[in-house]
Amino acid sequence: MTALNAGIFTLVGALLVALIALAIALSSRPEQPKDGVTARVYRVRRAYFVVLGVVLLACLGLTLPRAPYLAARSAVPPDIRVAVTGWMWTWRFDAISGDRVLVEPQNLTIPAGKLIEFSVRSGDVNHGFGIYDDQDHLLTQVQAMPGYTNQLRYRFPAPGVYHILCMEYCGYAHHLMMTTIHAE
Amino acid sequence: MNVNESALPQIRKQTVIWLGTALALFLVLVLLGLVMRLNQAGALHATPDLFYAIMTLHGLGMSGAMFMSSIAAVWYLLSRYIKPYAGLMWSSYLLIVLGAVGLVIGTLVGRFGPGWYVLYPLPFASSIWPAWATGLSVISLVLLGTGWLLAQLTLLGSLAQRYGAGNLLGWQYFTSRQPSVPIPPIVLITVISLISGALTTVAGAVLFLLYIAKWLNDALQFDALLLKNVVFLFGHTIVNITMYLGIAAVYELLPKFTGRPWSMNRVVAISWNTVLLFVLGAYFHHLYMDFAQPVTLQYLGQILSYSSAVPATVVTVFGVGAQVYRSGMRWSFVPLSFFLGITGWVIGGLAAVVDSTIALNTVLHNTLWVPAHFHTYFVLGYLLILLGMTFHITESQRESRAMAALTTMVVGGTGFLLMFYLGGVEGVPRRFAGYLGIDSHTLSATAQLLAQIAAGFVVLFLLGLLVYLAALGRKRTAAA
Repeated sequence: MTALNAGIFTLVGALLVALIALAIALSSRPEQPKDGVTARVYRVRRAYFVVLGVVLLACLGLTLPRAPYLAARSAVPPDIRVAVTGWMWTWRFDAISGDRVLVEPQNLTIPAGKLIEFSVRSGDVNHGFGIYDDQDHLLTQVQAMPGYTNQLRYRFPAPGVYHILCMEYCGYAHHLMMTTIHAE
Repeated sequence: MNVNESALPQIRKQTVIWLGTALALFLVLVLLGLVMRLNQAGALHATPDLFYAIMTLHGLGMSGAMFMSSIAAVWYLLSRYIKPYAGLMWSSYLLIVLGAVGLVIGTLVGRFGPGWYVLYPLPFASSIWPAWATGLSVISLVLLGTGWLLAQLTLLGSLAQRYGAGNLLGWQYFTSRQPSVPIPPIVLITVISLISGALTTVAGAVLFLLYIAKWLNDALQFDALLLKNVVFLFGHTIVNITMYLGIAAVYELLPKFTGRPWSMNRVVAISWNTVLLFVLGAYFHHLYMDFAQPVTLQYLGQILSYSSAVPATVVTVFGVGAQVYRSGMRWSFVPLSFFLGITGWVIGGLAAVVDSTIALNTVLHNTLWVPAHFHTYFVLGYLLILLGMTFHITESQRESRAMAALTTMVVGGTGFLLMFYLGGVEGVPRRFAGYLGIDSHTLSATAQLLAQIAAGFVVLFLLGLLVYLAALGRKRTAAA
């Protein structure tokens, strides 16, 4: 699911809400007694309640299975394990398992298409490990929290340069905390 | 029933002072917001420590000022029903002002800049701001929290005295259409809001007391995930109940313009009781990207966030519809600002539901989508209701000027918000002092361009706000 989907859905929804609001505003005249109006509004409300309930349940059913947590805890071993540590204000890749990997403290080269498991932690304050492709799409992210290790599994879809930005505010140079991952 | 006619002028005066303080703070904080967007646009060159100190003050100040204004407005409106404790409200006001002054010094002078959410352990881990700035700011937050808690408990106590504590949640409507102790909707919504507010303010107070302990003894260590849960339980709830208190005022005031009573009934009572559950649990969506959080809580976060859309729209929106439809109402400034505010709240809520979808949060979390949605229900939601309430409470009369201000602010606000949403869709990270350091030049250029356009819309919004402030107050008569 992409941010563009979210944007289109929200835009359509917002326009719909605005149109309904306009229709209600324009419906204020001619004046009628409230009793008849209330019964009419309550009938529509009942139908809306049912439709809203069905839509929300459908959205829950469609989206909850796409949550990243169960994949991160899967018993299936990843192809490559990478340990990531966030520090003010740099990223460090410093523990690796698997083959065909080139690692330097702040630079990582991995094969595209392989299942990578990032074990993300922090050496000081909270950070966020956000992966962008070279078209600037935010692909996925996970927090780096002191005292905890968050496992993120991701398969880089194609060879190229991927940008890592910090997605949790971490102080003075937060906006400069970034690195790259090369997939080949 | 008006039980307190003689005290109304005094209460009105006190309310106007609260609202005036909140609006003055709001104006200054919008200016600080403009400074931030101009800096991100590349038009200003504030150092990062100053930018992040301003960001911290902007976030804390806006949440505090808006919450303060919502408390003041419902306090005034409830004074028709309850005996107010003016002395306690003055004490609360004093604590809030002291806290605000402390925060201004801590941030702008001391450069305390961990963001509004003061996420542990950043307040203690930065070498940028001095220890006194951390101490002063945290103590100021305790003062603010104490002031808020005092105001909330004062109101709850007065309501319990008037209606009986057992009747405040409206459970008597579950079984009876005409209960022996009827309560108006404003009472129920205020009680639901303030119970959640008071509970979570206590949680926030515990958090900040732990922070003071840490400030005094740096060797203390706390669990970062636990404290993140506490800070969002507190912050998320306070922001949400600010909106709910605004809605409570709409329930009370809109009927004055439509001429139709907005009565309590079983559906209203049940819906607002479910809000109590949802508002306390929905904050889990702030921690979706913390995979160490128990998975059950993550799923519960999405379920509760979705569920909160049901009572909000089913009862309040249809209630507004029943008020307006064929009412013959004249669309003067106050009802129009209420109506637009409810519309903005629904749109912001829709964007919030989108963000609370875990699969989408993966690509929206901590991008500009987040400030987009909460600014929507503040700028085009609660704020518009606040403008209407203030205009009504101050008995202002300059309708055409207020209408011009409203139009300008809605246009400026919509443009400003649209840039946030586009930034979210483009993946622009939030809380960045500037974008020039991003190693992707396209993302950097897009983010900067959006900030430039947004700054222009903020100027328009500010212009509207100034016109609105000039519209407040009664017209001078020829004799005067």
